[in-house]
Formats: sequence, C-alpha cells, structure tokens
Amino acid sequence: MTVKPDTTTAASAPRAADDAVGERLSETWPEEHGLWAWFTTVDHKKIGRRYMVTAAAYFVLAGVAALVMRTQLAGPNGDVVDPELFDQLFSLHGTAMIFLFATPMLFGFGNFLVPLMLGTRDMAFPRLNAFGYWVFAAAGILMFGSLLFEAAPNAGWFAYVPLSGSDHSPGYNLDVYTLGLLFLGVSTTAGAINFIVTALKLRAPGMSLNRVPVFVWAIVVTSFMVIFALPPLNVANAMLFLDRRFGTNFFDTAEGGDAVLWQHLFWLFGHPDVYIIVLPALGIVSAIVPTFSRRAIAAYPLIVLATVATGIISFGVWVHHMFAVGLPDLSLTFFSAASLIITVPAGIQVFCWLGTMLMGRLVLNVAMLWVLGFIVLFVLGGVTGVMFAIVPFDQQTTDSYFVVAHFHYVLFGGAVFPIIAGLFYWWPKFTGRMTSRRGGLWSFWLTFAGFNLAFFPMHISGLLGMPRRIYVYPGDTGWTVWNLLSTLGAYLLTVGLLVTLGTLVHSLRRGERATDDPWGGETLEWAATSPPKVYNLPVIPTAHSLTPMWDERSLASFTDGIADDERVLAHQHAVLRTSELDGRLEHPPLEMPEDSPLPLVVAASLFAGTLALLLGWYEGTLVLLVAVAALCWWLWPHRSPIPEDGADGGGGQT
Amino acid sequence: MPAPRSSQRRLPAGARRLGAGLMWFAVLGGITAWAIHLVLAWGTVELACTRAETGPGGEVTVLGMSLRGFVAAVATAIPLAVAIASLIASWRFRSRQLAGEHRETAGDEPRLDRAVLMVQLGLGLNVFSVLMIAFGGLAVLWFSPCT
Repeated sequence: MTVKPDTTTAASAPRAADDAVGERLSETWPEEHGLWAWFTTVDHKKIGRRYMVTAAAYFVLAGVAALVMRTQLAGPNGDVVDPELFDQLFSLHGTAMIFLFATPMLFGFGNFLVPLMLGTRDMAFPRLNAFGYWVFAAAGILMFGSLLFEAAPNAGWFAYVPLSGSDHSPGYNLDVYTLGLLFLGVSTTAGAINFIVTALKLRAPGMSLNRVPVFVWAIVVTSFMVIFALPPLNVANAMLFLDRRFGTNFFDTAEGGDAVLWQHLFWLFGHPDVYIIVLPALGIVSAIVPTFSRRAIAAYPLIVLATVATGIISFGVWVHHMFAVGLPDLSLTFFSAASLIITVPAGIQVFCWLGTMLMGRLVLNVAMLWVLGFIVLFVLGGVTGVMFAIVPFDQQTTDSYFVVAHFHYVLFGGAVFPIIAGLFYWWPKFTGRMTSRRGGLWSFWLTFAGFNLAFFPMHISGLLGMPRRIYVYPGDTGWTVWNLLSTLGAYLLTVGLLVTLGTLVHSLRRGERATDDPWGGETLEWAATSPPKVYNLPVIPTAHSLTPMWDERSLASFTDGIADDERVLAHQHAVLRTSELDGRLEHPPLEMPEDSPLPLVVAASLFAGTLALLLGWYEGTLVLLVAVAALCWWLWPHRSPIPEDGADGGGGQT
Repeated sequence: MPAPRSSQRRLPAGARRLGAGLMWFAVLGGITAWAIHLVLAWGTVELACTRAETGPGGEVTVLGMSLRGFVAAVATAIPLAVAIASLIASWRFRSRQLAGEHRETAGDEPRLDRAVLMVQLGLGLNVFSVLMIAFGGLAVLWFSPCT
C-alpha cells in the first residue's frame, strides 16, 4: 500500500532542481507580458485559466436565467416574464450549462493540469489549444448575445423537431442554436484531440499506462468520447440548418424525412455527453480523495476500468431518452440492459473512494468536504438514474419535473460540486494563494443546503404530474408549495455560490501565499512552483510509481536530472516524447511553437463566417478565406525539424 | 530501461505478434462484440419491423429467417460466444501468464505491470459485455418483435 510519507522531501527536491536550472530555462521559456502577449499566448496554464474564468462567467449568466425562471414559478400564474422569453431562458440555460459551462470548465482544469501531471511542458499542440479557447469564447458570445435580440434558442436544449423546424420556430433562434453548436464543436473537437495526443506522447519517462493519474485517464476517455459523440450532433445540426434555411427535408415526415432521426442523432451524442461532463469531474474527485486520505487510491485498476467502461457503454444507452417515443419493446430492452449495467462502473468508483477513505487517514478540509457532498448527491442522482433504466417507470415520469430533479442531482451534484472541490484543491497551484477555511465552510454548507432545497422538491412535484418547461401553472394542482420551496432553495443556492466566489476573490487579493505543495499531493503538478513557471517543471522526472511525489526514486530523479541536458532541455523550446503504452523515452524531443496571433485570427474569421451564414449574408462567408490563408501560414514548415541527435533546431508549428 | 526477460527474448517475432494480438482480443474482444450485438440486433429489429416483410406464417422475416431467430442466432448468440471467448482469454492471461510472472517482478518492470492493468481492464469489460448481451438475449426470448 502506498501512503504519503511524513517527510518534506517531496517539496524540496523539485525546488532544488528549480534553483539549479530555473534561470537557464527562463531564457528558452520566457514569461511574456502586455496586451500582445495576452492575445498571442499559447501557454497551457494561461489558456486553462481562461477556459475556467470564461466558463464561470457563462455559468453566472445561465444561472441568472435559472433564477428568473424560478422566480416566475415561485407561485401559480406567475407573470415575471412572458412565455416567449421563458422559452428562451430555459433553452439557453440548458444549452449554456451543458455546452458553455460544464465541458469547457473541465477542459480548463485539463488544460492547466494534464501537462503538469504528466511531467511535460505544454500541450502537444499549443496553438490548437489557443485556437480552441478563442472559438469557445466566441461561441458563448454568439449564444448569449442572441438573447439581446430576442433570438436565443427557444426549443429546449435538445431542440426536438418538428418544434424546432422553420414552420413552428421561425426567426433566427434555432439558427443560432444549430450554427452556434457547430461552431463550438470545432473547439471541443480540437481540445479533445490535443488531450489525447498529449497524454499518449508527452508523458514523463517511466509513466506507463498503469502509472497515469486517474484524472488524466478521465480526461483521455472523455476526449475519445467527444471524438465519437460530436459527429452525430454536428450532422444533426447541419441537417436541421439545411432544413430550416434551404428547404431540405431530412426531418420532415410529410416529405419522406424522419422526425425520430433527430432524436436518435441528438441522444447518440446527448447521453455520452452526460458522461463527458461527469467523468472529468469524477477524475477530480479521484485526485482529491487520495491526498486527503493520505494514501494512494484504492483499487486503481478498478477505477480505471470504471472510467473506460463508462466511456464505452455510454454509447449504447441513448435510447433510454426515447423510451416514450413508441419504438418496439424489443429494441428498448437492448438499451435498458446497457442502462442498467452502466450504473455498475459508477458504483465501483464510489466504493473505491470510500475504500480509500476507510483505509487512509482522513483530513477533512474544504475541498474534501465538497467531495463528500458530491458523493451524497451523486449517489442520490444515481439511484433515480437506475429508476429511469426501467422502461415502465421511465414512461410514467418522462418530461416531468422528476427528470429535472434527477439530472440536476447528476449534473450539478456530479459535476459542479467536484468542480468547486477542484477549485479549492488546486487554487494554490492556479494562483499561488491559499483560500480561507471559514469562507470555504460557509460556501459549502450554504450551497449544499440550497441545492437540496431547490432540487429535492422537484422529485415530488414531478411525481405529482408537473411537466417540464411550463411557464405557469394553475393554483389547484398541489404543486405550489413544492415550487415555492424550490425557488427558496434556488435563492439560498445562489447565496452559497456567491460566498464561494467571494472566498476565491478574497484569496486572490488577501490570501496567504501558497507553498509549492501545500496539501502533500501525490501527483507531479505539486512538484511545480505555485503558480507554476512557464516551463512547468525544471527537470523532466522519471515516474517510478503512480504516486511520484510520495516516491523517493521519482523525487530523486529531479535532482539526478539537473546534470542531464536531455532532462532539463534548457537549450531548446521543446518537450520530451515517450511511447504510448510504456512511457519509454523517444528521440528527438518535440519542438514547441512560440506565441502567435494565428489562433486568434483563424478563430475570429471562423466566427465572422458563422455570423454571415447566420444572417443569410452568404457573400460574407468569403471571410473564411482569411481562415484558410491563416491556416496555411500556421501549418507551413518554417524551420527544419530537430535532428535525430537532439541538437538545437526548430520544428512543427502546431 | 530494464533488460527484457529471458523468456521474452526467446520468443520468435511471429509468436510475439500473436501474443500481442491475443492480448488485444482479451482486452477489447468482448466490448466490440457487444457493440456489434447492439447495432445489429437493434438495427435489424427497427428496420425489419418498419419494412414488415412477412413470411408464410405471417411472421416478420430477415434473409429468410424469422426475425426472432435472426436476432437470437446471428445478432446475439454469435457476439455472446465471442464475448465469452474474450472473457476466457483475459481470465487465462490474468491468472496464468501475467499474474505468475507479475508476482516475481512486481514494481520492477513497467511493461509487465502495464500489461497486467490492460488485462484487468479487459476482464472487467468482458464481464460487462457478456452480461449486456445475455440480458439482450433474454429479451429476445421474452418479447415479440415489432410490438
């Protein structure tokens, strides 16, 4: 059993290496400042932080939409907003929380942490990384900006046809949805490819697959899921846009199309997307639990199995969102079987965390408290999830508030709680500052109470028959008290989240300075300074175990590597390459590109082209030629690659 | 890097390739069989019921077979057999070849530790796959297609 050592060696070895070679590295990995640097940076840590801040801003906007809706539904016959605006609010709320908050926020964690955890100096494709961020930011501006013109999506986050067709939904609203998501999909796909290549090729020497941190496994599995799940959504959105704008009939049953096809395509993406959101969040939990249990994660192979199995099986359960459509019973059972089995890996993970805590020495700090809150909520959401795998129960509660309660327990409990836990855990690494324990405790308990008060009553209003997406309800339905409780809970939840925000902002301004490894973490990000320098780690270490920061041999590789040019790479803006399965060193090192405005230029011209298409100004789409030209410049081989002997040189501009 | 074990050095290239192929089958065979089962069984039921091509007894048919028979035999039994074979392969890898060697060299040979992890993953994936295909097979026996 690997347990955390009680020595201070963990922090001192990398620091000694940094003292020895940090100055030389700063010359090849310089810290740039100013406006130009801000727009052109390709540093994964800066991009990761931007992802998180931007996603948090979109979370606030989508959360305000939810508050307006809850205010409207606090009592019967509410008149805060009209039905047209209400339609836009719930559609934008769902779309934004899924596409503009959850996934990008977790990609932000991944961007910042994956290279550090792997012991490398950047993502495999730094410019692609920057490009992905700019596209994501622009897609959010498009989506939220449309609300100002009363053109926000208004047919629910899953935009079922024929409601979303041009007959029933005229105007730009659904065009914003289809084009916005297609545009955003470019960013998500680029990010996923980047994570996969980084994790397969840039791991520290010795980091064979059995020594890869669970968080990285989660990010990689999620990235593969994105690669396979997004194409059906993109195809569906492209076909819906063509139906609406150019009169094709993919989904028009009167003309030989198929309305159910939309549901198949959407949910073939949509259900894996639940796990695309949840898996990285579970990875965060798997990073926090060992640190505060003072031992390595229990049953590591099982937790990896659970992650991989969830990723694969999630592609065979999409029809459980369509149990009420009227498909043949036999068809439903194939998906019901998979839907029941997919609960097992989630259960395995929960037992692994509980086992780790049970066999370790629990330290109950703020991040761990959020993790414990997550476990409670995720199990509750999981229980109702199993209920939905049973076809007769699903058919009784489809489209009711019971479903709303379920997926908020899974997605808010299962993703937002771990995200906040991760913020408290890695905040010292992100910012170099510690957070207030008192503020963290208040933020947790207010949020936990507010969450349960907001969403638990929805189980009851759902079972009493309250349908989703209604903007008013009469007073004689028996739903009033449950809705009032939900609204009060929503306000309490908001207070909790504001306290969380306040605690983090307070830390930025007045927080105590963080040491490099304030919690005694087990993975390599804690070997970097807080916040990390541009080059991340002064020496590329050798990973001798799953817990390199608790392992004397791995730590010794920092000091042993000081004299080894191959591990310091001080004369090259480059990273080490290793083999995919076993983490064996390969030659030559991979040259990394410098900062560049090209990612921003390509993203901006794509955004302009998307806007032109949206507004029907088809000549304007010629702006995409700028993107093509910039891409040509981006990919042009400007310098010769590094020679085989690893001597100085230039290389890829990825 | 540690030197290869003497037993590995003795193996000819063809045998090593066969071993690697068998290991990948042990890891991914079951879950691939399940994916084929799902697509084939569900797709056949959906398409056959939509087309409603009936045989002499008024039963929906596929390639001359009854729909139920086709789904049970072709789309379920064969993938189930493949998944069970993959399960057995992963079990044998785990218990005989890798676990025995692993006990002697645990922690010293990353390649071996990594292979053990992969086979453990395969074992779990195969158990899930066999269960999912078996549940689908039970449904084929229980439900009438196209209702």
